[in-house]
Amino acid sequence: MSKKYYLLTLFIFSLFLFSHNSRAQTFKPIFEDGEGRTSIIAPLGFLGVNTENSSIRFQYFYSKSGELNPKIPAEIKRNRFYWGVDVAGSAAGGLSNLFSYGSFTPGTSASLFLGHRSLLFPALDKEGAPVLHGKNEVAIEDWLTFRVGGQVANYTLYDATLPFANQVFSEKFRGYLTQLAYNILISGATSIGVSWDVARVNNIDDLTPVQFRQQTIIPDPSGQITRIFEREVNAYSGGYESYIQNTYSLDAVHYFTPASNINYALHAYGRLKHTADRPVYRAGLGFYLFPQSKIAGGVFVESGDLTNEISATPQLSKRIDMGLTVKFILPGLGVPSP
Amino acid sequence: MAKTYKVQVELSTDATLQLFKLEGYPMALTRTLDNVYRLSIHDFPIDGELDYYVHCTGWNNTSWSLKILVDDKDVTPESIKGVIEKGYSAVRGAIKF
Repeated sequence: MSKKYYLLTLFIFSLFLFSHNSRAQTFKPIFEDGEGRTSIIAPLGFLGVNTENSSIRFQYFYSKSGELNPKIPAEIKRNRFYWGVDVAGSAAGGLSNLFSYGSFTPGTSASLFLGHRSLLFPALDKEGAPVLHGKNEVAIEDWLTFRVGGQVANYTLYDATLPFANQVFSEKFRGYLTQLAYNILISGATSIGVSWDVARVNNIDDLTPVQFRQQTIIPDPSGQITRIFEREVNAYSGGYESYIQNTYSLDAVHYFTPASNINYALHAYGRLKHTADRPVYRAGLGFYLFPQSKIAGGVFVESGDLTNEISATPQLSKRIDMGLTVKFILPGLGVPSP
Repeated sequence: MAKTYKVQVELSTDATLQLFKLEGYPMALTRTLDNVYRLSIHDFPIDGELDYYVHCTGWNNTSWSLKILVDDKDVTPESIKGVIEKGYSAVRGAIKF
């Protein structure tokens, strides 16, 4: 646990060292829940950590700039498509477990994004002037993003009920994710995202981490010497399973922008997860800070099982988790532009 | 035939510049490390007043300021300023010089 926070502090500190140039004060869609899931996806690149699911994530977006119409020089031809990649490493059981004996252990995932901006609300007209909406004449931007991804992970599992020789075994997990997310930014201050995703997931987060030493004793044929080899094994105990899950997500963010050096935002979210049996609700609240640097981040509190469908803990207050996410904004990687 | 001038533009802002126009034409500005968007252009035809257009987006309350030099003379002794509200700031104007 302490090692995890030590790594995080080191990460944040190293990012601060490199974060003094850019101060771009624009929409930063960096909000996520304890599983790293979000429906607020807009083209912006970042490098980030999330302590709740112990993941490191790199996201990069690319979009082509608008061009002038060769026939009418005052007109702009927008290219509304963008694409992106996302690579994440996660470790059930702490960031410090991400690398074990020098080899990368559990959970590596990668995704591809294809997106379209200004799907329902043209943010700019042909001459590049803002298109305003409603009585209050506010600017509205929107993004539709389609995401496909895969995940590979290897887990060491421990089952005490099996014969001794088979008690420790490894399980390969091959997962996938398909997500469709729609995101809207109203008046530069309120952002709402909805998404649906279907994924093959597993229950590794619900299993109990166990740690033990395994000894191999090799006696010398003469009976004089005995060599004892010792190895530390980190495993998970419990019934491991993988299944298909449909998730419906709703995210709402309101940005507060006092004319000072720090902007902040409140994030509320809800998830409805459908598996073969009962629906599970996840909900949480986040508070994010955006200082005038490339660093931004926030804390969130959430309940992974709001209505106590699958949890063994009946008390709601004991089913509430807290997480921290910090993102290093990669400047120029998809800051919204025509 | 409009007379031509050397024109230099400096637009300072933390926001994202969506579009900048001079005399009705979209112009490409280069963002330098000090967060200033710059342009230097020779033989630019100006017909009477110099028309400009600035469109920025970003956090609300983020400001921008525009400075223009024509033939090395500052024609905006008081910088033209704007601030983002409701998600955008779009300002059109003309400078006499």
